[in-house]
Amino acid sequence: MLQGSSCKYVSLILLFFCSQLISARDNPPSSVKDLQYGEVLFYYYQQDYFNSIVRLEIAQQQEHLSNHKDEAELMLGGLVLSYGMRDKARLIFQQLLDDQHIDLSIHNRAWLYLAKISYQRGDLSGALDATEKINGKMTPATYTATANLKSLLLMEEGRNSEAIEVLKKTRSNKHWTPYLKYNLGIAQIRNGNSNEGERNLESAGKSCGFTSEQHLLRDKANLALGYSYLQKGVVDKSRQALEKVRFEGPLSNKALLGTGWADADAGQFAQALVPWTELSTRNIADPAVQEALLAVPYAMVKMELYGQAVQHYKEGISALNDEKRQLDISINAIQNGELLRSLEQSDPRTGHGWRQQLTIDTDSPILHYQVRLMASHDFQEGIKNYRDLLFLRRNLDEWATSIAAYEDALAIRESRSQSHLPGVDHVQIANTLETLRQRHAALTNTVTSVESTGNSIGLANAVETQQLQTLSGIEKQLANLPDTPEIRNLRDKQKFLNGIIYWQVDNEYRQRLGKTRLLLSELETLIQQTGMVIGNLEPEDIKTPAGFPGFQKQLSIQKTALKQLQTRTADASMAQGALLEQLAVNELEGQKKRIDTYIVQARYALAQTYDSLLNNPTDAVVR
Amino acid sequence: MCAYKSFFLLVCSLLLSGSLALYSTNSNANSDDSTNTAASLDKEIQSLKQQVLALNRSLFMLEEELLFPSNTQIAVFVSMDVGDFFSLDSVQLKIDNKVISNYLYTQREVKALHRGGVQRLYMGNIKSGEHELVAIFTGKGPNGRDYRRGTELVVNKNLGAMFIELKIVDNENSKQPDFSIKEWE
Repeated sequence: MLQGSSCKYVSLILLFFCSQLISARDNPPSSVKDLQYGEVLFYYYQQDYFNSIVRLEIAQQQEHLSNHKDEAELMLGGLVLSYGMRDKARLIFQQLLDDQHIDLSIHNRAWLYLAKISYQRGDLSGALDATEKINGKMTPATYTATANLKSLLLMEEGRNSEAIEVLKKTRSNKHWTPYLKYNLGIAQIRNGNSNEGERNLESAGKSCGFTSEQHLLRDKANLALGYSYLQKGVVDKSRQALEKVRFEGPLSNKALLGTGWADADAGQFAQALVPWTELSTRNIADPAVQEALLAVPYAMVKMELYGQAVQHYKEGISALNDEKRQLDISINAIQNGELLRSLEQSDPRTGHGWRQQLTIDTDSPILHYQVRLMASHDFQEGIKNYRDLLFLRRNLDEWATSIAAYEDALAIRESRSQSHLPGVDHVQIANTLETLRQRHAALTNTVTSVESTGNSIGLANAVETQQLQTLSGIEKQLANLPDTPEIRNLRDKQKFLNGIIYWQVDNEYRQRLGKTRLLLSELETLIQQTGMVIGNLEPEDIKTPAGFPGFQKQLSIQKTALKQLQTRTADASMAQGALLEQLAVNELEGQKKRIDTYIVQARYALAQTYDSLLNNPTDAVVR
Repeated sequence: MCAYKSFFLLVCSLLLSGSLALYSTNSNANSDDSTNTAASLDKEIQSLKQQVLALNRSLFMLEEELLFPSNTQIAVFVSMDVGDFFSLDSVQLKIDNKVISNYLYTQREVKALHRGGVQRLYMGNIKSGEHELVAIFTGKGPNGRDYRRGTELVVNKNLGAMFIELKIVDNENSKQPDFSIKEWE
């Protein structure tokens, strides 16, 4: 029994850490040669698989990943696998493997992914075949992940000696060693080499590290070690190992129960009462606690404390009956949609996919059994799918709003474009450009003429030109007036002012000429650029009215697709919700049945204890 | 005692098999119908995911074409190399002295940048010709002190889409962060 069940236990550990390995240790390279590849990584490192995939596919389509072509395809496969799209992932990896020009390291990683997909589907031989294809030089991460997955698959098939051989040959880094030792230990115990297995478990139980993952591994190793010794009847070592499991950790209940059994096996029932009594005060939803409710009076019977045993059996039966009623309340709540409401309220609202953290409100008295439900693989997968569907529905709703806005914007732009259409005539634009070119040429000629003739007044600015024109008009008027002293005085003033302007222009001739030349050069550049823009505008903007129907048609196609997808996701959500509720109810019904078994056992034991009490009247029943 | 010994074995089995034992009991109890339903639903969900992803891809590209034609498109990205000397809090981006983006980073985003991710900070439109880009980075510098630093670049927008990268790089010599703006060809 130990051997068969421990295999599943190992599988769970290995599967978890294999996933971790691929995600954390086999990360894509961070040296980014294409900006868009970096953008994909930005989402990927935030575990936002949905947006990573969208950005990656856009970048591929826009041909922005020329420096990461093969890596990008492998990454896409990994991303869609992480997002729960196994069929698509398999297709991508298969296509990569069909390409003989691809680097061997990418081939190896593709085979590793394929092996993982086969394993998830329960196709063990397919997965093993895929791991056999991984060969040649490979990265340490790929090497360790391959060896681990292979050993796991062999163990699942009951080929423990082969798994041991693989694990023994695997060299790993400091991070991986305790995990390998743990798996090796379990494989050896299953293979009948319990001494070697226990040594490896002991080593894994003493490993270093302070992360929650490392603490959990130590607890698991010590728990497995404790139960291995317990099976062999080596109670002292069993107790020592079990006492190393953290008192507040997730495996504490199981360790306390085991510690009690180690004491009980040694005939030390008073000592067994210590962990069992502590355990019996904990959350009764845990089967280990339910077991402790019966283990405590069992120890008391062994100590011939029949009166107290009777009382504890009665209290235990009562608590188990209460628990059954609580389970009924929970089942009713689930059937009334409480579970789905709780999931929707605690939804992370991201496209994090299958590795999103699965948490729900376990403080709710109605839903406190969900902690146990979460341990069920089917239930976890069900929740992930349900949450993914919630995300897809929100995503589609957001796009529906955006499409409506784009349709409005397009209509406004089209109307504005049509009102400006007569002005946006290509011929007219071309003529305007030609006029500008002619004016530039005329100005250049004027400046050249000024330079060659030395006629500096050609460089007068607009104000000065205006002033000269005014003075010229005054001169003409004065010429028609009688030659009196006042008029002569005015003529002198006119000449004086005229002279000042000429002097001013002449004095700044060099600077003005240089500045004018510079301006003309800048003007020429601008005219050239305008010509280029107009050349480009021709297909894009001058023909824009013809583009509107194109955009509208595309929007219309996407809108239709979106509506169909909205209906399908709504239907799928409903079906997935119903499936999830069914799984939860099945699980809780199963717990009820187990409690029923305990109650029957407790009642039988209670009857036996009453008999014993009758034979030992000195130990009074405490009522 | 005999009853309790079998009880003990049940406990052992429960402990060493963990939750999977419970799962297998229940899954055996499930009817084939519900297994088939789950399998066909899983297929449908995979198909839906694929189609929604494809729709997002098409709509993002259409949106880009509609709102940011390549003639006028400018996209500004932020990257970080190592980042030991600077912990990024926010970036302000100005084009021609006009603030066009103020971005406050979450821890998760900063971690993604540290690991080599590149963030698309801004996407918009500018006219052809010269423009001045100014980026102001705020955060914690060496020794945890408040740090605010700006960097600028004059760019010449031509006809194609323009990609700009705002880079934060550790300078091992000065033990200070370096900030720069790079235009991608």
